[in-house]
Amino acid sequence: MDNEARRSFLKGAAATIAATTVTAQAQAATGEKKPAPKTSGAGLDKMIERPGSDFMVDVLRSLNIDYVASNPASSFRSFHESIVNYGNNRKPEFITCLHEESSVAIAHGYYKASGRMMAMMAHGSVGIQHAAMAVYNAWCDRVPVMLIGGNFMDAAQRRPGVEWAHCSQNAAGILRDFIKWDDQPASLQHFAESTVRAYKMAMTPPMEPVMIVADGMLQEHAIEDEKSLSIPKLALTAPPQGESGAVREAAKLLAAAEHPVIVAERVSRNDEGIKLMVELAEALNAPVVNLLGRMNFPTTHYLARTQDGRALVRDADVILFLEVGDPWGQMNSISDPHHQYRRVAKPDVKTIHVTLADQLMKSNYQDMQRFCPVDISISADAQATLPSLIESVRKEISSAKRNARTEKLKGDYQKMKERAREAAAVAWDASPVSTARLHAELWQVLKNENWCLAESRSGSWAARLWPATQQHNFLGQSGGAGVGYIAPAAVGAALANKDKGIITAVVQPDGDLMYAPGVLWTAAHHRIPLLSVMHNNRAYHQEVMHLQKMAGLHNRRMDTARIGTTIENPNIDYAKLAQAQGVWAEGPITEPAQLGPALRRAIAVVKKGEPALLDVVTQGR
Amino acid sequence: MRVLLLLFFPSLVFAQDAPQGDAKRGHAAFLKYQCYTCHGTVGQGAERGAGPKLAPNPFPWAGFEFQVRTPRQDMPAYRKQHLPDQDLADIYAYVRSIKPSPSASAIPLLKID
Repeated sequence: MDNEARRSFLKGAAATIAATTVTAQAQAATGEKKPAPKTSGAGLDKMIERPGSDFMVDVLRSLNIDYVASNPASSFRSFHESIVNYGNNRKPEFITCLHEESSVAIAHGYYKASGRMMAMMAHGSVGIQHAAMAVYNAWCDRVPVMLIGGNFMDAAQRRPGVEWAHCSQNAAGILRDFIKWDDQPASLQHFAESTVRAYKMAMTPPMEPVMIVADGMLQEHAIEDEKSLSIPKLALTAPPQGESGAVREAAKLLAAAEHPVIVAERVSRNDEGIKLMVELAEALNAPVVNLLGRMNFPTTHYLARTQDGRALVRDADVILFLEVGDPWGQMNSISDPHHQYRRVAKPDVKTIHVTLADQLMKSNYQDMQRFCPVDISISADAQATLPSLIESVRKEISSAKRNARTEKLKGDYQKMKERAREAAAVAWDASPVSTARLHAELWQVLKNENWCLAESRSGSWAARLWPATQQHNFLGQSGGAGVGYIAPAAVGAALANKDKGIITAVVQPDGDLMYAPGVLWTAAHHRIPLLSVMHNNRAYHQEVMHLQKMAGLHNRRMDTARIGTTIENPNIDYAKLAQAQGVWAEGPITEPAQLGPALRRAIAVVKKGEPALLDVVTQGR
Repeated sequence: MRVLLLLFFPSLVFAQDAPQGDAKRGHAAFLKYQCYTCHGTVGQGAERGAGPKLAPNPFPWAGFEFQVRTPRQDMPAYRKQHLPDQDLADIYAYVRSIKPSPSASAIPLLKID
């Protein structure tokens, strides 16, 4: 059993201890023995002392779910009331949201910063419709989220009107193409078992969102026979390691290579994963192209060569893909807008892929990417497989062969870093502010902190310039590229980081923020310290470029590309938008010399435990 | 032929071939035709492959014109009926007028290790 598996089982044991009987938990919550549950009286005198939703809170507590992000809604009003009164709004605490898409993305960012699953609640109908895109992002990004939908299944009990419009036969149906599992329990015992099952499935790699539909009457009615209820114990599943024979074959191939390259996307779950990645890269002396779905690899290491990725793949004789969503796209390209195919990698390159993608794929949404034939396919969790792969590589490779590459690799790394710095210097004093300048200025206020950049892309200035070594430094991207992720995910990451002394920052695109800007209010209301620095290019900039490409392709005028793609006339005042929701803010900043002092004022606010936003008008990219 | 010369003997390709252009008008045209969306307002290029750096020291005119009219890779084609020759000459004059930025070694904020 590797370290991670051991930790998983220890966590499972802890959860088992937590999963005591319902009665015991209820007593612990109030500090006194409760009378037998009962429903008394009729009409106005009717009273339910121990509703089913209290038990539902016990179930969430047994799973150590600390937060539930949610808009309030009548289909789970009893569950909501149980959280705040029966549970005293602690573990889980209700995080008030202004859009269900924000609720899911907060949980998404929270998981990536903490490795812990959060829950969200929504109407099983309109709320889940709002939430759907964010769920798809989590699906594509292999992130677990506990989705709880409210629904009144017994039509005879529904109030006329809106309650009917907000109920459905198949509440999870709209999400079923991009969640791992769902259930609609018909009893409280069923709820307990299915929620624990859902949690376990979501946290088993490949991790994904799951959904439980909580029936409204099950929530509101009294618990009938509490002694008969129990919450199942939870033991998390150890992630699967690669089959030993296949791992040995992969090691032989890698050890024999002259130009091996490692391409990693969603590998590290924690700092142990980064340490293992370093051990593997050093064992091979192979450069690492980090697609930054997770932190994966320190940018300070001489084998961190992401910016040279295309050339490295082109020259490679063996490529090891580790949980890469689109390996085909690493070795081939389709031009835009002409859709011309081009091979990047050598035709005879040998490839290995360690991935769980083949274990969970659905048909409708095409996030599986183009089929990529490989030479050795290992269906396993990448981080869990690293120890055996490292051991096998060390047995296979000669130190002389490995060490012969070192000097050149170190030199190439230095050249890559120097190119990045020189590129960042260009347009240093430009107005609007260059994105390189923005990141260099932001680094000045983060460099002496324990920091987290809540959204980070391979190829971004942060990835190119900043020294990043820990799992929480770079949290990667949305997964599905559904716009509107960054702002709420950053709030979720900051929520996870706030008690750890980690300063959370985000470079916040304007178009992304405007999908659901109310998440700034959530940050202010819950005093979630987050430094948001606007990347305000006053456009859906990617779309401006798409319009230009289409105009060029159709031989039409190009200067109309801003119609329908820009966010100007009037320009949005993001500082006022933030201030109106209780967030400290300054801007718009257009001159680069103003940025440093403003950032120092903003970080002082964040270090006091409050959110802050700086509106910086930037170059397009 | 000019393109071949550009590829193999860039120093032989003739700066004097560039037509007369006005840098000030060129700046306006650079914005109007939205060259800046991919290349930045001062031709610095953009991250994540949006567009390469143009300035300082742009391509010689022949290569510049060829790329704008019949681009390689992902750049959209700007044909004459939508980008007149004089506007392109002005844009080239603007790009040539852009002064170099300080080198990274002269910028304390870029001493990041």
